Amino acid sequence: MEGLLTHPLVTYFITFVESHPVLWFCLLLAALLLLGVNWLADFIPALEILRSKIYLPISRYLQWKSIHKAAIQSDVRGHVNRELTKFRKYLPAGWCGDMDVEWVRHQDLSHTIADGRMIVRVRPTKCQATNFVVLCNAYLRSSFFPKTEKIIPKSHREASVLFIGLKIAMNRGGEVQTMFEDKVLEPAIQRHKQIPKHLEDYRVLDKRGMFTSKFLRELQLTANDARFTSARHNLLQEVQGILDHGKSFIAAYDEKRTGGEDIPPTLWHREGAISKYAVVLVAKPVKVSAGVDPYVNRVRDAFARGARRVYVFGADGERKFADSVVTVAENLLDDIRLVERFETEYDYRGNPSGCGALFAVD
Amino acid sequence: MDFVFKKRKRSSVKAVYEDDLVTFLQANNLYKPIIEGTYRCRHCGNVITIESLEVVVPTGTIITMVCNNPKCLSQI
Repeated sequence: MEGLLTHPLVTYFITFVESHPVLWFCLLLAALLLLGVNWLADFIPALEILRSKIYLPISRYLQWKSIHKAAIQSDVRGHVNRELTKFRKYLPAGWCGDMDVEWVRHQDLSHTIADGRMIVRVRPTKCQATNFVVLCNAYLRSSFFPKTEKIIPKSHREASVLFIGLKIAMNRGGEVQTMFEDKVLEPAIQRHKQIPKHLEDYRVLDKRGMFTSKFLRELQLTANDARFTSARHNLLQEVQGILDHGKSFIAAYDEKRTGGEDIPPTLWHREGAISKYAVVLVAKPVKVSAGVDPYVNRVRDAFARGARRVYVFGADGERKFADSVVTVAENLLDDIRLVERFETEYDYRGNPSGCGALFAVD
Repeated sequence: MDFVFKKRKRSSVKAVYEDDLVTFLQANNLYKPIIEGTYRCRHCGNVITIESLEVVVPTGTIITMVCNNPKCLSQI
């Protein structure tokens, strides 16, 4: 040890450090900052993007493949996860966790056959838009409709993924949006002529917070119910029924708001061959003073009438009241369970931000 | 403050980096068949080449491939 400390190179290094204290302090600080960013980047998508911005120029300058791969991984992962974080709260629980990129090199393909996951080629491009679009699309496709992807009618499965993918791409804008529209959306429409119509219908539901909250959840749960029955072959009609009901409900609600007739009692419930659910809207401001009981009773009545699921929707202005309704219904009603509370991008009146909950009977 | 203490659960997308593609294909005895034009795109049926290969997809017990045609890529 003593010999090492007296080595000319070590002695020179120590002398150099002692004679340039500020420089070394700054270098140490920069190193610590990099280590901090590197560590925190695993938890915060925005810092992952920052990490990629540090790695990319270094990798280009040094021509190091491993750093370039790490930079691409951080860039795609950071951007995809940042966008997913915004949309995840609207999606059914368990869909679209954080994305990671797993590099394969010498991997034995028998593993891939066993786990069923595809391997995507990633090119070292200056602009990461291509990698973002390809990997994001692959990830969304693998994350939607777990276990039911083979039963859900293909056009709806594709359109649902495209709808969320397009929202993510539009949120990023610029080249990503153009690339998504040209390389993913357009070719998909060429294959399935129904997709534009589905996207239009989804937009109608989405503007009232009923696409991710009700339609996607009901689609998944209905497919799950039908999975091991002969009804799985009639899912297209059932899905169309759910979609039509959502549109009719919104149209009736709008008519009522503009002074028209009340929503017909039959529209509060949908009784399909597989999917039987009801909708409860909380709350008309003047009725809030009546307390939570009327709404809890509506949930109870819906189940008594044969609904297997009840979707409760609350507007942003009455979020606390809607939460109380859900809590009281959960505690008061026997034999039903609260599947999950969810957020909606818009409330049922069309204003930004809403909330809701899904109850089910087992 | 969850992120301070615990990494979030991630689901991964498998990817092969451009420079590792040939090594990966050779390691799995796929390089020669591709050079010989044995593999075809599972969607459009065109012959897969090293340049056009974009995705390797496990289908049942066999390996299929997708070319870089946007129409085919959008179906992965």
